[in-house]
Amino acid sequence: MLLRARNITKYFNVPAGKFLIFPRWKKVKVLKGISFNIDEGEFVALLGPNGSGKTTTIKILSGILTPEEGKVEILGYVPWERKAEFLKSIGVLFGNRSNLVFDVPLMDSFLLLKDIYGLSEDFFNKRVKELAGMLGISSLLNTPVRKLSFGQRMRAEVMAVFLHKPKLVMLDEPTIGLDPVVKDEVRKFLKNINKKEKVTIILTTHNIQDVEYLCRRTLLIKNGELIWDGPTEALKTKYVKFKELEGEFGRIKDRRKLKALSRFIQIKGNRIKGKVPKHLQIKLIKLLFEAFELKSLNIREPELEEIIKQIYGE
Amino acid sequence: MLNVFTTGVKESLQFKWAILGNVFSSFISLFLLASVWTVFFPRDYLPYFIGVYLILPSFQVYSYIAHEYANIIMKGWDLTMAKPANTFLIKTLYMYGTYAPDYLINLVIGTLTLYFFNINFNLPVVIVSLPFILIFEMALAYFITSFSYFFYTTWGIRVLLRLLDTVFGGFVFPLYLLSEQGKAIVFSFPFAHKCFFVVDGMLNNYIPFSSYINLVLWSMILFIIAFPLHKKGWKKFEGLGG
Repeated sequence: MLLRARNITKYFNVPAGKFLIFPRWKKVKVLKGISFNIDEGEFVALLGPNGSGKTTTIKILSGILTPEEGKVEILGYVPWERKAEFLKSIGVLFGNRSNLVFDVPLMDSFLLLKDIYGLSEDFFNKRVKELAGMLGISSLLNTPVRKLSFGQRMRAEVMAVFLHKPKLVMLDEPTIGLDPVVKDEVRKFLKNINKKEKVTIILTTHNIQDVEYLCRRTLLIKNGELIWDGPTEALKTKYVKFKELEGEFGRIKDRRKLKALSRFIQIKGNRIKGKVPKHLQIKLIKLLFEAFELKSLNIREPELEEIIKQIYGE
Repeated sequence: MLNVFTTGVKESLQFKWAILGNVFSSFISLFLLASVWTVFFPRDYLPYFIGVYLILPSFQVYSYIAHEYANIIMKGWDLTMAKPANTFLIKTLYMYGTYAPDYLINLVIGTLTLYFFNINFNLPVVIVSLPFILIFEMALAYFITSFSYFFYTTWGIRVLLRLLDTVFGGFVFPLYLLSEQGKAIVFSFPFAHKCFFVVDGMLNNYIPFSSYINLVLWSMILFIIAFPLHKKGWKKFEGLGG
């Protein structure tokens, strides 16, 4: 097991009302004892609404913050002890924080990271060539970072995180603000490197397409509590309460049956549309066939995004 | 960590016009200040002021380092915190790197000016003193930044220290003018030893060894006070902001 987190609890001090000179603080529990394990090579999504504790979790896992309670062990290290060997084996990227130096060519930022991570000349040269090739930024290595477009810079940021071949990478919104083409390139790169190097990746994002494309497993945090830890697909099974239904009919066969259906479907012309509770779906579909002479019928599960919205809103 | 320093140098060199501007402003400042000094002080002090303003121009990098670091704490956090390196050390070396080209240019101009006025000087005194000055500046920045965890901004303490540094360091008036008692007080602080004594040593070929001892002792004191504060502060640190 690569990562073992048990009962992580974190408090933040927030102002308790107005003050003139001496502030009064109250403690707010932002993480309420969350526990999970992550194995080597997993690609895990860490989801949750804004302010739910995702970023705090990442900061604890990367050794930036110390929790008040709980235990975390990553590759045998306690993150907040900040041992150099541990920090060398992780990589962290936050969409709104940069690993690069803005006013110097991109290569100089990488040379800086080479120095910080103590990479050998040979390894560094090969790695730069390999990653820059994969991300399509080989021709930009001598361009100052400030002259790069946002998409080019984000690809460079992603490269910077993987430069030292970390075993665990934590990415916070790596595709935020990117156009669909670059977004797709970054996703493909992440999928490839996860598969090729068995690097464990924890991804926090609000982009559900990222999750669907990349992450087999999802952790869902809400109000500081871990409310879901399991396969991304199974999220649907657990949280889908309705199925969406759409169809076309030739004529109405039995008007008496329509009354029972009217709570769940709407009729517009010769089309029907509605949401069917999961536990009643067989019964209601049977009724539909009895009530209508159906030409077509589509029943589909809502998109993951809809499900996540529903969970956030509950 | 040499690359951190050289990256700072490279960044500074990206803005060559800004460096040329600094060269120009160094000349203008010296000309203007020299005009004012000759009103208040005998012309004998001119070499001293050339030394203070050109050879050791505003060695107050600690203030910028402290500002940078406090900004990180105030705005939340920085990705260097998740790397196998000390964030403070990275910021310090980087800042020294960005100031290095400016300093070297000032040093060249200062040296040429001293030659131009046919003033005897001993440059090795400055070269030998530089590491002591840089270590002290780093210690002072480390001390100031320890407050950033508790008060977020270090503006007040930075202003106070820069004021003490400017006056006690000999930037405003030559410390030769102080009374014996005044000298005893001012020389017990480190500021005179990172400016006045170095310039005096450069012009008179002598710098007391105790001057270096003073800087080393103060550096140690500042590190010893600040170290537990940084440790405590790091535990308190909340790294707010996504």
